[in-house]
Amino acid sequence: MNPEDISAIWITAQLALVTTLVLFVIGTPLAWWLATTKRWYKPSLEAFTALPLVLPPTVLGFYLLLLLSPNSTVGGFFFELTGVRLTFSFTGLVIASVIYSLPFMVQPLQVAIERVQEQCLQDAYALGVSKLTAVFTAVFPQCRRGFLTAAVLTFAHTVGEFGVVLMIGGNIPGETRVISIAIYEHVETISYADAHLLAIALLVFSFLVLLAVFTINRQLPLRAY
Amino acid sequence: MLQVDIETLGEFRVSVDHEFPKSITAVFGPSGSGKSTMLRAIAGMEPTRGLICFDEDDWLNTELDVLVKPHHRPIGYVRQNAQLFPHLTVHDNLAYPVKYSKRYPGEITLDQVVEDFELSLLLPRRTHQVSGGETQRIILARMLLSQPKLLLLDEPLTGLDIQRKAEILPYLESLQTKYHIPTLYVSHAVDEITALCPHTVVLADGEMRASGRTADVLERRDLAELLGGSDTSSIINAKVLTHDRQYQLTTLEVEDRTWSVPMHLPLQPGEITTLRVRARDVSLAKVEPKAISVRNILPGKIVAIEDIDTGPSVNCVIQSGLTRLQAQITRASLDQLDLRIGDPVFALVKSVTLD
Repeated sequence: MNPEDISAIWITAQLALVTTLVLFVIGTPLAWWLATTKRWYKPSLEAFTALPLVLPPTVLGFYLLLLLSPNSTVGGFFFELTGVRLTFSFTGLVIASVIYSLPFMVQPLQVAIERVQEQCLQDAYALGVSKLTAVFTAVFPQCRRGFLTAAVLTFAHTVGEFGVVLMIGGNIPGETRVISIAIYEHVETISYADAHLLAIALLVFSFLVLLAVFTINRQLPLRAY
Repeated sequence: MLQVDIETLGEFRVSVDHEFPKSITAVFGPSGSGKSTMLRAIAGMEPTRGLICFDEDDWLNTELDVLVKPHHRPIGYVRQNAQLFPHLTVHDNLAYPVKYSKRYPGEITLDQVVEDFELSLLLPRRTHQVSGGETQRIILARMLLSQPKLLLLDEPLTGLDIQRKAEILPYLESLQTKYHIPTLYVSHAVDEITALCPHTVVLADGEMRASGRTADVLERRDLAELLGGSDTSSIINAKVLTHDRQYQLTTLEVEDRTWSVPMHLPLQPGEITTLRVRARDVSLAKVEPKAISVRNILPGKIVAIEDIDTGPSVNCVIQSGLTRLQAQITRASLDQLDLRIGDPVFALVKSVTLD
């Protein structure tokens, strides 16, 4: 494997890890809110969260490009503040991936929380336990399958991203070239052997990750989700 | 000690204005009568207006804008189909309120409930490795560790078979005898109520229809429909004399007469027990019957004759010494025997239930 491909693997892994961590922090409260709110605008927010599931990545990528470019308000402000471009940079990729992978973190968490929170909180209150303590000592531990599923799906989905990455990140070796882009590049230049190597690696990796999830879910000694 | 005058804002309206006594009070009524809703309101888990006052502390006082959060109310609440935390072992379930409850520490310790509820062998197990009856015991023990001053039990025996129920009943009794915690006990099983609860309130359609001593309430004709159709019952106190193993009978003393009932060995000779006699299991005779298979006969006189709706039967209340017994007979028999209030009669009891 050539050094550029190895760097593509490394960047992909970093991107997926950072995206998962950021989404873990943002997605958990969002999922909690969606699972517990009774406000009329909840369906709108659910639909909005699920948009990346149905939109072509090019649509998302197009609007993100407009939003994040240094000539736009948001992208320009960020550039003046930090000197970092949000388009065609790793930071930009992370932002795009967070938005693109949002439903993969939020939906499994929301389902898990919905299943246990009400009764679990009431049982804890009845034992004299405050809400915050109950959430962390009773509700979340009972949602651990949901957390595992959400984290793994987010990670794997980010690894497999192509369209948004291409539009926002482009194809800069060592900065924004991830595995899927590298494969595309190899196919374009008819270096099928290199494409095969990366493609097979991704295939095996994805299968192993999903296998691990299903195996662990089976073995966790939990009747709750 | 507990005063409740509330209206819930949900689908139900429960309006109860009652000072509950400091012992076990049965909250009784048909399903949908608002029993569970009332309990949830007292626990603080149902949006409610009005007044809930416990031992001079307002938990809810809409007028004064007082609302105490559920975890600050010193209650032990066991909801219907209550469960243990599945991510914790039995021991960790018990330790949960010890670690996290705002009300801990208090007088009740983990070692004490483990001993009282006989849980030591179950401690290392996971929650799916204990039976339904064991789960119920653990739930009661865990509840006690949150140091409650008032217990709210919502059908804690529902879903258990008769044998399991019999296993749990002594533990429920111990909540009163050992821990002396006032309790509201929701149930629609008459046998549980007569066994556990000295007081009863009857709820129907979100309103309180009756309250008082359990024996008195269960005898009231006007509540017959709420209490389970024509299954009106009398409660009779009896003293256990002997067990007759040959005939499988237990002999009891009721008002100077001996009664035989199917043998029930857990009763100790000398013990005072309660019998439940359904009105329809009692017949009346004007003269003392001889050579008859019915073994339990009580002399008395008719003190009341009450109609049962427009059906073929009437309900006669018989007073025999201190004992009151109800007999359901047909209007035809009433007329043929020419029975009137004040007439001496013999009540023939065909079957009884021991609690």
